[in-house]
Amino acid sequence: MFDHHDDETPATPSRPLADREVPLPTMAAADLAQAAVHGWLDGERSEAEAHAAAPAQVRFWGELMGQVAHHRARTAPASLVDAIMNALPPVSPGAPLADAPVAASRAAAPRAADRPADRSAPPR
Amino acid sequence: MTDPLLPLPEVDSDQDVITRILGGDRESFAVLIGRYSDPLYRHALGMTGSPDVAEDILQASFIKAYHHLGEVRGRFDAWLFRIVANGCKDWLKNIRRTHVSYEEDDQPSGFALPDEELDRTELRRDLDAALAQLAPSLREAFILKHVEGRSYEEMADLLGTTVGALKMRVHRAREALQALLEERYA
Repeated sequence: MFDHHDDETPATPSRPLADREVPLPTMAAADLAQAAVHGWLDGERSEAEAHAAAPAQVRFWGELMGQVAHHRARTAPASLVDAIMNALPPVSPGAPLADAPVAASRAAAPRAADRPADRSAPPR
Repeated sequence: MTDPLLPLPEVDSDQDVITRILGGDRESFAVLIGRYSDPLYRHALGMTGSPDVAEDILQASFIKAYHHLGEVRGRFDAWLFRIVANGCKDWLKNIRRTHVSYEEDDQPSGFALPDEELDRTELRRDLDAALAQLAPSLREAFILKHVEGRSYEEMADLLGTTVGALKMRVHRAREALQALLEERYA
């Protein structure tokens, strides 16, 4: 009567101990809600699912993501291309150093070119 | 409507453009700047909070990239991203060193530009301030995911780490932002 294994499940499992399923530790309701919200923000769960678990958090993140979208719309200043091109030496990168008038290019972009060259060395 | 029988306009690959530049066509570098300046600017702006600093970092990074163009191995966009990301991290290190007490008044100029104040909502300003309080690695992960809209796989490619580690960083960044902002907005 109290045996819930009265269907097809054998009373003694035949699988090795290491393969047997063990119950997961139960998650607190707050953790479940948090997981639903992260899942929604990661694109793995629907908004409705997250909303059912944590309506206030979904409202909060919805509003916040609206502001994040503003950042997504930002573009580089139109003058940037010219500023960079004017700061480049007038020879190709592979040309011998003697051909590159470095002083002229530095004068064109003093703020950028004055940074120490070794601080953000490009990957080799 | 596009005629399906007509070939699509061909776009030169980054490698094609680089080959032209290395062959002496200096002006082709403008193609690479145009192709990547917007996403990289958003990244630098998100990391530093200052339009002036972001522009400066981008300019320095592109110039550095030009000088080392012959050394590109693999994807140019990932290589260039790392130069910009390093520039941002260096700037953050320097500002921490020079601004020992990193309080409201010491925020980078982008947080208090008068022209920008006009069209910023209070939440947007608070979000910027909260982002500035995150550790650089968390801020970087949050910006890549939510501002730049990249997938975890792309982020892992760019940063040379695992999807799992990046998910953890993004989750921690969200939790920190929520803790900083929810008292006022939730």
